[in-house]
Amino acid sequence: MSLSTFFVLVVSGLSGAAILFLIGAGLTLVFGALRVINLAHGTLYMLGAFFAVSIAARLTGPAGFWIAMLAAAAAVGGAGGLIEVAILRRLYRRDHLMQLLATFSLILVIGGIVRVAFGADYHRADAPDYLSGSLSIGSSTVSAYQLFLIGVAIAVAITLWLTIYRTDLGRLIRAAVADPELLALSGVNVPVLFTGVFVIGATLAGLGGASIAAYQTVKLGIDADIVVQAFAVTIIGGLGSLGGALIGAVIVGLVQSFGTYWEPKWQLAFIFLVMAVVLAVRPSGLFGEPER
Amino acid sequence: MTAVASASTTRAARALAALQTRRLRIGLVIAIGVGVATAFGTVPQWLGPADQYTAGLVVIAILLALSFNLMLGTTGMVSFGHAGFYGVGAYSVALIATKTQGDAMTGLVVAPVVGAITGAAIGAICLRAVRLYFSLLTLALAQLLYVIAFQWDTLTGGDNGIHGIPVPEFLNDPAGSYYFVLCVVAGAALLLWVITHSPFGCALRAIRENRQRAAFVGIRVKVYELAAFTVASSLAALAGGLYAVYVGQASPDLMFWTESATPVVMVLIGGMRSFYGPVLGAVFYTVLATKVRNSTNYWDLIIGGIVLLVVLILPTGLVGAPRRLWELIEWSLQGFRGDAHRAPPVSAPAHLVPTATVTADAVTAGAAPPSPAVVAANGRAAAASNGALLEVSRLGKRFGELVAVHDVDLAIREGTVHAVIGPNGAGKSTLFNLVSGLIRPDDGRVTFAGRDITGARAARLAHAGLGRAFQTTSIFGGLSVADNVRLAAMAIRGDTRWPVGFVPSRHQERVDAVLENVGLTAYASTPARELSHGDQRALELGISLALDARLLMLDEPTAGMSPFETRRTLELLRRTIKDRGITLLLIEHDMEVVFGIAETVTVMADGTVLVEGTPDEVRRHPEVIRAYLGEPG
Amino acid sequence: MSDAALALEVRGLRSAYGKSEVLSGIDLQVQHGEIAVLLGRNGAGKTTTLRTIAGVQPARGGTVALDGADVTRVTAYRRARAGLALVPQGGRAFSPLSVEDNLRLVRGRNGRAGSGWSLEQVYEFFPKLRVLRRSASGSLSGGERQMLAIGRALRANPHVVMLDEPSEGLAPVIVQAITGLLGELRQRGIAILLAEQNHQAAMRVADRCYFIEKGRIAHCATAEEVRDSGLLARYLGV
Repeated sequence: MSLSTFFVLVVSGLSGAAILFLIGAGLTLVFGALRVINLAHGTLYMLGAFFAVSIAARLTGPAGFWIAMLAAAAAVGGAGGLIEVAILRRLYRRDHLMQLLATFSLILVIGGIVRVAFGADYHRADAPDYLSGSLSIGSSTVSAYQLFLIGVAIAVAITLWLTIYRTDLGRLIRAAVADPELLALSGVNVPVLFTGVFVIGATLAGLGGASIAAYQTVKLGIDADIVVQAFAVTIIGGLGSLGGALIGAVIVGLVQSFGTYWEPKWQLAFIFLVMAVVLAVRPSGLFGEPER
Repeated sequence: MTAVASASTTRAARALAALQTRRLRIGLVIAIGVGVATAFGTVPQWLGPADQYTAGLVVIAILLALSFNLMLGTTGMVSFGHAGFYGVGAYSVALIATKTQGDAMTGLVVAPVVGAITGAAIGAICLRAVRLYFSLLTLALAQLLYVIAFQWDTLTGGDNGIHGIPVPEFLNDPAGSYYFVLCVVAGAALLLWVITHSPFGCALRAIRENRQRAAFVGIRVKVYELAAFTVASSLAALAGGLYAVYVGQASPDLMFWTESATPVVMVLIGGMRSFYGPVLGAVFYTVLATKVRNSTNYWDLIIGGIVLLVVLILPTGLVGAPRRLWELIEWSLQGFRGDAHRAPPVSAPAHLVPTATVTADAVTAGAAPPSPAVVAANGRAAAASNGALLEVSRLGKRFGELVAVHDVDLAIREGTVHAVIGPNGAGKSTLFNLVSGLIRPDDGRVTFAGRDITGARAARLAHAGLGRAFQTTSIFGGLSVADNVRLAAMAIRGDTRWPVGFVPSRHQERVDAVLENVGLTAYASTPARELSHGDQRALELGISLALDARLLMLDEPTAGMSPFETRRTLELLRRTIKDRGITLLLIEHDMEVVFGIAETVTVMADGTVLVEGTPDEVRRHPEVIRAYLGEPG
Repeated sequence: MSDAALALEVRGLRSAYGKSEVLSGIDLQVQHGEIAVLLGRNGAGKTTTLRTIAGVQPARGGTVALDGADVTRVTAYRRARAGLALVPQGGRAFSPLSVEDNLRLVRGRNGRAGSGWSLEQVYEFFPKLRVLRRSASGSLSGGERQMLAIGRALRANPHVVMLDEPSEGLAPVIVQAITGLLGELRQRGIAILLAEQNHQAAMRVADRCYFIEKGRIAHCATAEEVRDSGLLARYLGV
């Protein structure tokens, strides 16, 4: 393998990691604060992609792409808020089984809505010209869009880190992770905080979906493709840890990229191999909370 | 509450009570059972060919649902990958029938075997991780199976799957194939029924109720879960094989992850806590799917909506619907001010009425050391010659920056009562957790009966003779009081390994004895979670007693008890020590208990041992007074 | 203080876990500048009473009134903002956060921080906390965490402070310090409801005693009446 091929694979892997980080970060954040595993997180990603496509189709002009991306993310965030208030809130006192089943049912419900609204066709948005090109590295080329995705993920990671560790909201979230009941006793409107956290998580997933709308095919079933990888990311990194989501995403992204190069049919198997290895050594993931 | 409302509630309550009388219930069950069996058995007579075909699919779905419920309803394992094994079974039949010398029948025999092997492998991986990730992993691994079926097109026919599976002559006749499927499923359902109602099934239910405590009564939880997973996958594969035989094809979409919603939905709608709920759910779902699924774009929405509704409003499923409906009626009639259900008052058995005063002298004077015969009768290795049954040396544990326990040494002699006291944060509970296998120590060693048990897990310790009761009551809430104790008695003898046969009656004596000891005979059939706080503590103790442990570790056994109950517990403990030569190690805050029963007292503070000695020595020790008892008055 | 509205008035409070009723009608009152003590063994219902009054445990009946205003239907965080503070059992704190962050989090009236005691005032009252302000609260000792918990309660300008067994597991020296602090808070007009098993510590500062047994108030008396009677022996088994 030449150095340029290596470099291209790394960039490709990191761009995949970028999307996985967006989704994984949302998943892990929601789990940390709300103690709920949102099985429908991949479906929110798909929703973001579809929103982006349909918004972009209605907008012309240079800013259309950006507006579509941000608006789609916000729309998914809004949907997340609706979901939290209408459904999840009623389940916090129930056992985990019911929470899992409820979020699982959302996969079907949201997927069903998408099917009815958008049909089973394939879609794709248009990327602006400055993002559609490619860069030459040695004898290989790297897509500019991939670099864009990496940039988005880096920006989001920095923003998340600053928010969690340097703002009041972040302190509230960390307190909610530690002891939500105590937080309510401290006069904090915890229900609204929970909704806020879920909205943030959903927005991240929506942003992930919206980001790829101009890069990959948008169709029903992309939630299935991504959700397994997203789960792998959070399992490897450890649920509840943002740092774990970042590292897990990089691992899965790179494994996928190199795995596809060697044996395209079995890339999913490679991810599982990595997951099995990590779990054999650390059953709660790299940065997860241990259980005996 | 108005007079009218109360009158109608009483009338209705009486009617409900009548319904709940055993005889009527048994009669009802038999009638329903006969009706259902007849209906299924005579399908070719009263259903047209198209519906008859559907009936066959319903029967196959019943098997899928029942197999899934072994995991979900009985053991509490939430798997989102069950469809994967269904597909494995279908492909087993398809591949054997089309690509080898064998025929579909051979395939049908092979399918459950392949299902069991795949199930064991996947189950082992999914159970390796912490419980939290189990559901995620099942979903992911099932999707992996789908991808394999999809990608390996030379073997599996890829996207198209395998069609036109050849079947034996007698299966070409619609009635014949229906009856064949019915017989196989009936046999498999019977097998599942036996397993669910066996001691093994009891253990599974205990795992569902309280996973941690199940380990502490000697159940190797992950082994049992793996067994349940394997059996469930095997039967799901059988169902898939039947599908391939009945419908004549196998394709990857059988295993797509959203197909795993099917068994979940069936069990949820029907009711997961009942054995027959999944049957109801399977009928409901399959009929609905056959009529509606292909004719609408809204199928996903419908199914998702149903699941959501069930979760939010009717979590006990159709089986539990009548009761739930009744509860809603009751609730709306009474509003917020109904008479609450109160647990009946505790009554003490006559021979345990405590004496007025309790002193250490009375204990040491009255208790004779356990005779060698009693100790040897346990059939386990004798204690080390220096008499220390449990030895702890230089034990230490850190949680991040916090040093919870450091340099702790402890030696407990067989047949003695040893108490550990100290202020909160002294490390007493951490010490207990380190010794009893809940957490792993960073430094030091723990030896029990001469064997190194440092870091050994709870189940192994229970079988070695080390039993533990908890400070926060940790019982099997959904099981009856008697079942709680029986479960412990069975598990410790390894009887829960048997997936066949009914619960041995030889345990009944033991259960009765323990219940009488702790004064809970009147509550034998009450669900444990409905007991009052004090009674739950008594049950906690009862479960530990049923373990026949050599060393019993009790964490604040009298927490939450009245003076009367405390003295009663003290009497019980003293008799237990005397009768059975049990060694006791306890954490206590109640000084009356400590001075009334302990022979040696260890005082802990700031994570290490401060002082050790007899109760009197400790009481007068200046350091103890300073650190723990503070200024007088 | 004036005998206008009682600081805290609880009537017929009921609560249950599923089918088993845990509180069957609790009646109690606390006036401004008074310390009322709720005495009873573990399992008698002290913790459930405080948690139900605070709103984190749902009530099945009865009323809770704060300064004369009915708060029975008000959710927990709003009661905290309105001036009803609970210091729960066990010296709970937000372990990964620093002492100062713990204090900053508290939201008082109108949902704003700092409507009660300022950080400066809390540090004056608890000098030890000033020294520890940047330390992670998870690394504090039991007594320090208890002080932090009380400090947090004060940040919201409470009219009523409820404490659930603040002396549990603490060395008697520290317990004395805390009861002393409670006395000072009483001077400032705050109403205090103290749930305790440790009667020695509690009786040192009590004005009024409620004895709770099996989910109801079995007896109510002033502190003097209790001191010379056999009530303590009867309800606490001492």
